Order: sequence, then structure tokens, then C-alpha cells
Amino acid sequence: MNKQYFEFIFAMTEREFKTRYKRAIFGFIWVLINPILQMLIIGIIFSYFIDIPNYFIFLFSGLMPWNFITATMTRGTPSFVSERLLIKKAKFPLEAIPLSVIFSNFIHLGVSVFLFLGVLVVLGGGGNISLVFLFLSLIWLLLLSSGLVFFTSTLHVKFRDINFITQAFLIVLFYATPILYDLSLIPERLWFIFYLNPLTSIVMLFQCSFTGQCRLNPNIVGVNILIGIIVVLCGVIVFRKNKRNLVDWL
Amino acid sequence: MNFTNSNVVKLQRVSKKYEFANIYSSLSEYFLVGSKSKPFWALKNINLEIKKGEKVGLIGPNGAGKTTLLSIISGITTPDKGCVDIRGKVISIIELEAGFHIELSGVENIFLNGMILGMSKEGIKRRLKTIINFAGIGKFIEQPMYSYSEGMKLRVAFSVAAHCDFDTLVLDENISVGDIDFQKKSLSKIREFFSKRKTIVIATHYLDFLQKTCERVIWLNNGRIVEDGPVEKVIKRYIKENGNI
Repeated sequence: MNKQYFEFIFAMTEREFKTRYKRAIFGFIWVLINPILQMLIIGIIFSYFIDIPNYFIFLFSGLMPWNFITATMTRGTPSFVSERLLIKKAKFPLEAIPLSVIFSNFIHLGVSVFLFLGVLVVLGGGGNISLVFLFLSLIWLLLLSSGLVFFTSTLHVKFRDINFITQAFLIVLFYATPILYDLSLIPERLWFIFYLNPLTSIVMLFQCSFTGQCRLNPNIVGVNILIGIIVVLCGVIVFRKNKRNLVDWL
Repeated sequence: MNFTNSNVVKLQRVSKKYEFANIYSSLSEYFLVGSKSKPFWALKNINLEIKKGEKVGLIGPNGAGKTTLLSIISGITTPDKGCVDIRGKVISIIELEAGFHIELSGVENIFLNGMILGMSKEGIKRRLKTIINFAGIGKFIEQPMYSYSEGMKLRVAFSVAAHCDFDTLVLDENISVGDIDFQKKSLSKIREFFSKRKTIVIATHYLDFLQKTCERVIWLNNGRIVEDGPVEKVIKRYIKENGNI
């Protein structure tokens, strides 16, 4: 761990970040257009069925971490395989590859969070914002997604259907996470889903930092943290155990 | 520390195994069929010592294990058996362009590729002018790489690698790159490496080139060392057994 190591991780992140929208006009704006469209469409439809105050703000705060997770998983899981040429030809710290995907997506998330904060303040909804909760939820999200991506990207090298499995899993996960709805709308006998889904508390913490209405359940938070730690450990252990031989499977 | 006259590369009883592909290509298959792995030994029981400053050629038919051996020396992969002791900084020019991204400009790619080869950002900044001049592709250096011809990409790639600090250089096959003009330039750069006290391991089929540049040649076949010795002796036997090329 030295300066050169961090420079390298940074350069790889820059590469991932720069190349994504390089040739698109207004490249970066696309990062914002998607979630805004998503928010508007879902918001217009679901506001008929779901009664949550400030529903659009609630929705957008949940969609931001969710889009981060999907983007990171979708690009991160096959990342070792898509960089196989590079990995087979040069010796460098392999963790730079999934990390570059995670960090570049995290910059995107940071920009949308920042702009969303700005919009809220301008529109006069700034009084409910809790920056402490926001900071905590960002860190927690970063750790959890890193664990997930290290786990799936390493396995994907050996089992090439992992990418399809994660994609299917994400579709289910979207509805199993309280993004469109609030926990109070779900009967308690189904709450085991939220206990098992470590995203629950992260998304709720995001909503809480923007809307100021915190319905965090301490039991769920506890179990979520525990599962999160297990996920991160799994990711780190699986990667560390396999990184020596990763190149031979590519 | 000074490693003069000591070994920079030491391999002891090194063996490298590959599993044949498609065995557990998918998780569903893994659970349904189970794992029946068929190993293939790319290197078998290799003992090898290379001293600092030695120029070593690797010869042998395709699939003999040359590239696997080079990957082990450059630390890209690790053996399944045996031990490897490498001293100093090894860079491999196995594939020059591996680190390039065509959406980025020449200069951005110089930084990226240099860092992949293990240079520090500061070191690249210091040498940036020299690297750009050596590549000699003019204003294209500021353009995104998708506008480059293959030859121009190779020029930039070679230039980055040639200006990298290293103790041991690992080369695979393509030594001369670009047009005649650049070939002269790159060959003279490679000769410069050969004349310095740098260790060079090179795998190639150009026996003439080896005779001119290397003192020692290792002949590999089926993952084993057939012969390891002075260049004339090994090449003579190699030609005798394989017919002249």
C-alpha cells in the first residue's frame, strides 16, 4: 500500500469514468436523465396507490442508491472477464478492476446526491435534510456493494452464468426493497424479507436523510448490518483466495 | 542492494497446471454434472536460474510452454508446484497494446499504460516528452486512439514500454513493430537494452535474431526443458532435429 498503488487505482477509476460517456453529447447528463425519468414515471403511476408524503422526494432518494447498486453489479460482475486481455498480459493489482467500476459509479452517485441536495434546498425542502445520515448511508452502501461485486466478479470468472443469476436476482431485489413503498404498507408477516435484504436499511437511511421522516426499525438495522458484514467478508475472502489463480481461468 | 552476479530469476521444480475449459463454465452445470477436471500440465518440473544481465532466448514449438514460462517469470501467473524467486522489477512486453483504451487520447493512454507497467505518475510525467518524441506520431498524440492506425498504436505502446525502468525485460515474439523507420528505431532501442546490464528473456522463432543477441538459449518442448546451454550449441541441435526453417 503506497502512493503509487492509490495512483493506479485512481487512474483505473478515471479510465472507467472517462470512457463511459466519452462520445455521447452532454455525456454526463445521461446519468441524471435516467433516474429523473424513472422517478417521474413511477411517481405518477404509484402516487395513485401509495400515500406517502413528499412521494417524489421519497422515490428519488431510494432510486439513487438502487441505481448505484444495479449499475455497479451489472458492470462489475463481468469486469474481470471483460478485462481479460489486460489481466493476461500485465501484472498489476487485480482489485483495481472491480474497484474502478465501484468508484466510478460512486462518483456518479455523488454527483446526483449533490444536485438533488441543491434542488431540495432551492425548492425549500432543505430543512429535513440530515447530512450525518446521508454520509453514513453512503459509506454503508459503498462497503456493501464492494463486498457484493468482489464476490460476484470473482465467481463469474469460474462460473460464467453468475452474471445472468445476478441480473435475475436484481429484478427480484428491486421489489423486495422498500423503494416504491414504505414498510408500514407491508404486513408484518412478510417483514422477514426486509430482515434478510441488507439493502433495506441503506435505502431507508437514504430516504430518511432527505425526507426527514425516519421509520428505521432497529431490529432490521441490526440484522442488515450483520448480513452486510457477512457479505463483505465473503467478497474479500473469495477474492483473496482466488486472485492468484484468476488469470488461469480467463 | 546489489545483485551483481546473483540470480535474478530462480525457478525450482516449477510445474503449472491448466484445467481444460468448459468444465465448470457455469454454476448450473457445476451442480448438475459436478466437476470433472482434466488437468493439462503446461510446465513440468522446470529448474531454471538466470543471472543478472544474462540474455536468454526461449525456443520451442507452439504450445511448448514458452508463454506460460514467461508469465510465471513476470509474475502474471503463479505455478501450482515448486517455488519462484524473482528479484528486481520485471516488465513484460508480451502484448504491447493490452492497456490501451481506444476512447482515450494518446497521452491519456501513455499514463494508463505506463502505470499498468508499474511506473509512477511522477515518473511518466518526467519522461512524457521523450516518450511522445520516440513514438513520433505528431499531433495524433492528443487525439482519441480510435483514430489511430494499428502501426501508430504499436509505436505508442512500444515507446511507453521502452522508457519504463526495469531490471528484467520479458519479450514474446513480436520484437519489431511499425514501419521500416520505426522498426529501425525500436530495434536499436532493443539493442540498447541488450548492451546494458539488463536481464532479458525473449521467446521467439527468429533463430537468427537469437544468435546475434543472446548468449544462452533454452529449448522447451511439452512443458519440459529439452536443452539449456550456449546459443550455438542449442540452436544447432534444434535445427538438426526440426529441420532448417
